[in-house]
Amino acid sequence: MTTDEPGSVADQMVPTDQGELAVYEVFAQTSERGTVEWQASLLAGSPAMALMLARENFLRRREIFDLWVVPRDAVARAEGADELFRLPKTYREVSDYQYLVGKWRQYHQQAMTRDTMA
Amino acid sequence: MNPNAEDRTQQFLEHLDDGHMVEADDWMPDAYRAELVRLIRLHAVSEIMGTLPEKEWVPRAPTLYRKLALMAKVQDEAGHGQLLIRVAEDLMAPRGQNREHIMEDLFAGRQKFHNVFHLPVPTWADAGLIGWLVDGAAIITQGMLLGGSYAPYTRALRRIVEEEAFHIQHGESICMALAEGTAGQRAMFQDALTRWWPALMTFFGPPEDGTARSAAPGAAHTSHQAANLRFRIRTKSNEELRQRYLSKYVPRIRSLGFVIPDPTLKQDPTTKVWTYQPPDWEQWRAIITNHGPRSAARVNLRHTSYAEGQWVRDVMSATRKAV
Ligand SMILES: [Fe+2]
Ligand SMILES: [Fe+2]
Repeated sequence: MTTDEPGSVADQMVPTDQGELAVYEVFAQTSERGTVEWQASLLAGSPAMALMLARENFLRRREIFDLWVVPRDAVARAEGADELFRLPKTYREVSDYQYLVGKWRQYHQQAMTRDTMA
Repeated sequence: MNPNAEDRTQQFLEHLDDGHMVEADDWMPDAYRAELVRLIRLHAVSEIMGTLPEKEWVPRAPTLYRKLALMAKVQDEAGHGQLLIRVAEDLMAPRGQNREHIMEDLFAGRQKFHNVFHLPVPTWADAGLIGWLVDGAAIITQGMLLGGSYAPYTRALRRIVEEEAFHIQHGESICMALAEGTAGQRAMFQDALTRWWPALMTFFGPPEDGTARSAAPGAAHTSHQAANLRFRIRTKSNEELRQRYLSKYVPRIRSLGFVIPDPTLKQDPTTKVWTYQPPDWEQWRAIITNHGPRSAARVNLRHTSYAEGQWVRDVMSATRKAV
């Protein structure tokens, strides 16, 4: 599918409420080892214009390593408590296994005592 | 208000009191939305109108370095306006409104902006003073607003405050050069300070204690203040901000040997509270309702550049159509 076919993502990004301008969300990677993070939103008539405005408006002071613009309409979002709620699953977390440190200390201590006795 | 909405508002307030944040798509009471829209529009338009007094000095800046720095600052302010207008638009969308409405209201005289941007900038010292003492006041307000409850606004403010740090240094640097300069340069700064002091004293708005209440339009101001405090849109009163401003800047101004044109201005050594000559709040109201010395000229200039830029917006927004 080319981007200009009716029904394509690019076609859907053309809004109807504000002329031909659409809201774009701007994401950038601002350090070499960093992740791409949300920066701001802006109004633009095309992805190219959104990229240019993003660079000029929000990122002119810093070095950036990656820059994305995404039409807001193209973002699928989790809605409401059902999709955002997380069961407590502490068995997934390192903190649940902290008791092992104490165990090891104890065994280490026992072994040292045994060695000394021997 | 039906009982259901009342319950929801109560829950919403408890949510705020627990320190939670609000996002654009969350349910919010109409009054909360209205206060936010009012505040963010005022802030956005002040950033945009704030570029105009300073840009008058871009062609006349004394050195190339100062000219480049001033242009960078003016560009930042326009960027702040852009960031904030988007935040306002997302809040205005459910009412079917967007930035066009903000601009139309501005051109029709229905949209306020900060008092300081209605005033003339006759000398280079005035331009420097804006960077040092007006941006200095703005950052005190904005730093306080960072603790607000509406997350998209606080995100925009974080970016803005970062850039304001440069603005203040830039303004300080200009004022410092004048302070260390010739007698003529020092006199120029002293004149600018004398001219701007009353506007700086009213920048934060009237105190909440009722001393500034009046039957004039804009008298509802103090009740907006109370509502914004309740909604944790703001966390400090106008007077608290003014006191903080005085504590920060009065000693600095005096240390450079300049005279603040208020002989009654003094700080209580124990309570640390500043007392000062009560500002002329009637004059302040006249200025922010577009009766200031440069109000009409600046609004007209903004209107002209908006109209002359229409073809650019048309061309840019037609890109997809043309393919
Ligand atoms: Fe600004
Ligand atoms: Fe600024």
